[in-house]
Amino acid sequence: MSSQSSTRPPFIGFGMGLRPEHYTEILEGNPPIDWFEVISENFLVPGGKPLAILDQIVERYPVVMHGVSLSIASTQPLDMDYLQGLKTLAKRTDPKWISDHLCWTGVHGVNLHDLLPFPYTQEALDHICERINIVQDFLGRPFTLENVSSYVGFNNSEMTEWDFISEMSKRTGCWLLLDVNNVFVSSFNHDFDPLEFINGIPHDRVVQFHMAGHSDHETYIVDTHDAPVRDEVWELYKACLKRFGPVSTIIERDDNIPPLAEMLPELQKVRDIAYDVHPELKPKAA
Amino acid sequence: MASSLKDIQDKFQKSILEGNDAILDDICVNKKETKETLLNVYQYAYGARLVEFLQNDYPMTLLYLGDDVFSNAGKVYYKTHPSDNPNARWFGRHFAHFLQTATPFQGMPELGDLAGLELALNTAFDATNAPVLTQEHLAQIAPEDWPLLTFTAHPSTSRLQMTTNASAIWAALSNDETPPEAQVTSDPTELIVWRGEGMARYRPMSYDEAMIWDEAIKGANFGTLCEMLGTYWPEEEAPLKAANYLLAWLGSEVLTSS
Repeated sequence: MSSQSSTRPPFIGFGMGLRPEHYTEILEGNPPIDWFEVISENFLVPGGKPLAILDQIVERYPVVMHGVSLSIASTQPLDMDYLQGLKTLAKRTDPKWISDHLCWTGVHGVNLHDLLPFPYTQEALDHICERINIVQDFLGRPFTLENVSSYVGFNNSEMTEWDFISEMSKRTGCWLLLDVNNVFVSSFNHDFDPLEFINGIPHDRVVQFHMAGHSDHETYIVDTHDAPVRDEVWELYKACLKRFGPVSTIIERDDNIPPLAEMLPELQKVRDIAYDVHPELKPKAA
Repeated sequence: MASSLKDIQDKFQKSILEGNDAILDDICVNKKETKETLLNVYQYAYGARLVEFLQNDYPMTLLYLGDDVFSNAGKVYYKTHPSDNPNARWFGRHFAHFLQTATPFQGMPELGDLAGLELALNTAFDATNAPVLTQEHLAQIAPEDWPLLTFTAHPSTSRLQMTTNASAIWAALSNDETPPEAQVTSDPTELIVWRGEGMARYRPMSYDEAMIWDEAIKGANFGTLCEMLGTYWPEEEAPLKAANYLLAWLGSEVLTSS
């Protein structure tokens, strides 16, 4: 187990995924958002305005770094230049934790810029755990992996996704980012009970939830992040809060992005549901 | 024998890049939808996402070409230039060169110039930071040392030489105006692109300014720059011309003190 497993990242409240469309509203209005999740790749650039804006946001809000290109499940070697970039960016932002996805993004030097599925086998588990340990030791910060939405499964899978994630977390001590919408999407696409997934995840390893919208194509669902959170996912969020306790949560929106002010009511709903399930989180009246 | 993780990833990637369907044998039967349709979610998303990256990086080229032609150009581009970087920011870095050289786009020379300008602006936008050389820095230089003074370009700067009126097309499109008809110009248009006050900018340079800028950033000293301008202007006017160009460079943050 890695040395990074011992310190559980703190509960930091209810936040949003940081998007360029919202920079002005954030910097001019200081909206009541507890923290921001920043897409690491957006700031893995040499200099200029993006990094200057990030510096200003980091001065005002806690942040978490969320990447999309680690490719932890890929069979090509880890990209140490990319990891060095993450490490350098982390020095600048001092994130509460660093996250990426339980997936692969390409092989043979090609990046497909997608979060791709793989079979849940012992071979994959051994391979991924070895790489997680390298990443955790290299970054030297709490490291978290997120379950992705998937549209296909593989004949040679030897275990369920939740058993795979549980064993991975147990072996490496990595923390878990539970994307509640992804659980729902995959449960529909692969015909399993989302509560079985949630109840199969260790109750003490989840440090973050993602909430997002999706697109329903009747015979399958696509994780599009282009719409408000659906009712079924709100229900699942309640179940997650009951199982995992108070967990830092953000809303992710990547397309059809409305002004930040229009998203604040949805964030308030995230808070209100958490307050219902865990009244101790509710701020005390002054 | 079950496929290894490596085999699965090789086949899956081939299905996305080449449409090869060998991976279907490894994919589970789904009760609600065909395997082909579900695999196509990934295949479709791949192309759509890469074209979207190009649309974001080349918005005026997109407006100029229109959605359909741009998408077709994007499809040919991503098939010949698959992304090789974990950061999508760099996926489109060869697109301007592609438009300059690939059939049928090379028959529209303004296209390569237009995309080249957008690439230079994108590069300037998030180029490495460096302290800007100011008038205050130069005020500390003793008069006798000025002829030996040399200059360093700010990392955000680049120079473009265009053979078309693409910069006028860019300017019109960015102001929501109808662009002028594309033309090959009799003399090349010299441009400098840089980041000033956080924003990527460009402006035309006269031929003599472009000449001494190019020499200055290669290391020519101020005295040499004045001599060069002396071949262009009456000798007594050259130092004043050089001083005015230098003042413009200082004012627009294109030189660094580092």
